[in-house]
Amino acid sequence: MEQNNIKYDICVVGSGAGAGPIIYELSKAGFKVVVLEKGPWIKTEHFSKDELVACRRNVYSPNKKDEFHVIESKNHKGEWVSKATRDSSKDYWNGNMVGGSSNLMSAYFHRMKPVDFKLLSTYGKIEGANIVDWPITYNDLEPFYAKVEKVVGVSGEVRPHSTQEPRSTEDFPYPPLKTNIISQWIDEAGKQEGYKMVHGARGIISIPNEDRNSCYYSGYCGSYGCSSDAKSSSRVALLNKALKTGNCTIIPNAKVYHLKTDGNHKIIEAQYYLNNQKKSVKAGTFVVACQAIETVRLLLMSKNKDTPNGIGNENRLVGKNLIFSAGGIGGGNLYFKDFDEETDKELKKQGLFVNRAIQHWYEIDEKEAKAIGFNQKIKGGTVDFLFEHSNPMPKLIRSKWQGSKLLYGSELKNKIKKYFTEQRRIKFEIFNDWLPTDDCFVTLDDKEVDKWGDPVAKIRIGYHPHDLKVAKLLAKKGEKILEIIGAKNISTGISGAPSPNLVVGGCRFGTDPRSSVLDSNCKVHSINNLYITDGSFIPTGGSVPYTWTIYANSFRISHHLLKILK
Amino acid sequence: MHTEESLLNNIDKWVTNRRKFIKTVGIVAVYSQIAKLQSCHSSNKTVYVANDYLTAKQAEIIQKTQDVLFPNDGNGPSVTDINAYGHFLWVFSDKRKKQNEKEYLLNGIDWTEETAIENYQKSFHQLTDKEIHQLVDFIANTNWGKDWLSTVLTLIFEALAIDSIYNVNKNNVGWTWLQHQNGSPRPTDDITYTKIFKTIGAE
Ligand SMILES: Cc1cc2nc3c(=O)[nH]c(=O)nc-3n(C[C@H](O)[C@H](O)[C@H](O)COP(=O)(O)OP(=O)(O)OC[C@H]3O[C@@H](n4cnc5c(N)ncnc54)[C@H](O)[C@@H]3O)c2cc1C
Ligand code: SF4
Repeated sequence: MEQNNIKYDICVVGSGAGAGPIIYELSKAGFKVVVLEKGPWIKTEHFSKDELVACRRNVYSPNKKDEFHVIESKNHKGEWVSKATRDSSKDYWNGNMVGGSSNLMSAYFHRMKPVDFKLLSTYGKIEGANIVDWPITYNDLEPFYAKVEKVVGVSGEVRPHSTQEPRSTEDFPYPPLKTNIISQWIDEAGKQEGYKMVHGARGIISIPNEDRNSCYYSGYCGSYGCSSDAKSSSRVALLNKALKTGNCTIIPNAKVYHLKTDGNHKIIEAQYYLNNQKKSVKAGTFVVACQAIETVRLLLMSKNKDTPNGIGNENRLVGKNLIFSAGGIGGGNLYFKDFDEETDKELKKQGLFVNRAIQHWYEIDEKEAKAIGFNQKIKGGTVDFLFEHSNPMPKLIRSKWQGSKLLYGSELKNKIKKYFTEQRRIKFEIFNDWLPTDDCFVTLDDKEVDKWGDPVAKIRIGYHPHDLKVAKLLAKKGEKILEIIGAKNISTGISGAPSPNLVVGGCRFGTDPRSSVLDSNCKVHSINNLYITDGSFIPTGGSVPYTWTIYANSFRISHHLLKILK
Repeated sequence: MHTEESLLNNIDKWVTNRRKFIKTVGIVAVYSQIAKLQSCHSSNKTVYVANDYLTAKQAEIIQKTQDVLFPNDGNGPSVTDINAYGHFLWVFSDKRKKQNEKEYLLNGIDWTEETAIENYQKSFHQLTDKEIHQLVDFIANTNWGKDWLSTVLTLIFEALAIDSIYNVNKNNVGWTWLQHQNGSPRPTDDITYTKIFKTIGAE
């Protein structure tokens, strides 16, 4: 094995949203930081809106022939069955490259709310769910949410609403992005229903700053890299700045497979493959942020005589309580024939955002909760409105089916033409808590290995039925708004199938080592110099997408590291 | 639920290995070469030619099937306008594509021929246009046929809607028909699917 003789102050594994703030803050403070990232270094000029590259052939993720996951889900008899994603349509990679999946996010940004940090004490136990309070409060994280707005770049506007979270700053540093006429209709519809729509923030800058151009409303955001650097990816917002300090070294295509310990509660070396050669690097402090599933996998793979169950796994908790974001997707068609010509022109304008969300039912009061079978108030969630994505392939593929019948010929061509030219589809996404349970966790598969011969992660994806009930209630609220604005064929799909791109947990933080993997500063309890700064620490959540919280928490840990390392 | 990927990927049940897969190693076909592999038109009769991936008979079956699935009916482009056949062939040169997915595409062609013989006691290339339509209707109602035709359709859609740099969607004919506004920037040669891995240092 080839050793790098430089001893770095910090070695960071992964370079996405959970890694970026650490890399940025510590390089800026003068520490020597090395970043090991398994994916390639794709620069801004290498991104385009090529649907073949970004979506159809998944160039930004590993080829599933070489690297894949094993998914355990329940079959129709209720038995757990495993299938490798290599042999299925599922994909649990979200973007392997410098900057991680933050390059590809749509960047719907919401803060969590104070209640998210204390679910157990607010709503009590739920049978079959491992709910806990967080060891920190919203107030502990708030300054870092504010920091993300400024440093990473979040655009939006504060318009008080019924569940507005407290803020230390008056408004967003970047003004809201331009919106389509539909946003006004949604605002009106909310008013008609007796509540205020949330004007949603985005991790996208609306005006240029010294290093980045503003959003040019490409209309191709989620799943695509940004060609103007407006999207607040870790690569653009943080790594590029870290590189300028001269203290940061990024090694792309470096897949870490083992963290070596010194037998005395310290990591001394990260071992990785680079061009199929084994290499290693030494550092004083190690930070892992490979996104929840791969972080767990790395800890479990780092077994040795000192850590026979894997790192941090003395109490067999590593991989447990993995959570996604529960919910579903709804939508309806706005037919141009239902509006006048002027309105159609506005409605058809591509690229403009919707940026409206319902958070009025972030908590569902006793009365409404009773109507769906609960005997007390319960946690609700968010309904985010958006237009159907611009790329044509998903629309084409959907159109070939009429129920289970395959359409083709002139009938199919007619249907396609009408779909593309006679309507625009408005959708909503529901985000509600994916309750942590004993049926959702990550382990190492005992048979399947990747191209290097390392065991792949096996993910059991069980969900709690509570999640679906809440999602259904929220769906009704979204559907009502679509109905008011004149959408037709309104429907929602709620399911317990997870969205692999919204995944956290697996190394929950807490104060008691017997029930948590990390301490409240996201240090592995049993290791003195290992921090986990992606979303793995999150013990409960999911009523908003996670990235703003991941960024904010990583800034919080940077702050802690700066204090103890200086 | 049917999704495009599941139909392309979930084909284990069809991989019966009845045929030895032809020429899979070392084929580096670029789009311009693929264009040359297509059928030749002489007077009114189309001559179907063999190429690196298909026999002449197979070439005829897939092209005529594509024509039934996405007909030249005056509503939008034809499969020729979008080079759907060229795109179908190009899939075989994709080193990242799984072998069993490629085999599946070929198996479907062979099963179509088998079904022609079973139903009409003659080879596909001897069928009349009407019989070909009937045959496609028939196989669309079988389990294997529905999945295979759906996969072939997905590839036609790609030819209709991906960037014309891939020698499909010629002159943006697909986008124009659908009044689709493309994203910008469009891919340049060095960042197309075949070249991007090298460009970003991932090869
Ligand atoms: C299409 C899409 C849309 C999204 N939209 C939104 C949205 O609207 N709002 C929102 O909040 N979130 C969204 N997300 C989610 C968001 O991208 C993630 O929450 C965020 O990037 C997670 O940060 P992370 O650091 O945990 O993981 P990542 O950003 O993915 O970074 C992890 C990095 O670790 C690397 N890595 C993994 N294993 C190893 C290893 N063994 N060695 C070295 N490196 C390794 C990976 O290659 C990757 O680069 C979206 C994601 C996708 C894919
Ligand atoms: S230009 Fe705007 S819409 Fe397009 S990818 Fe960048 S941030 Fe997203």
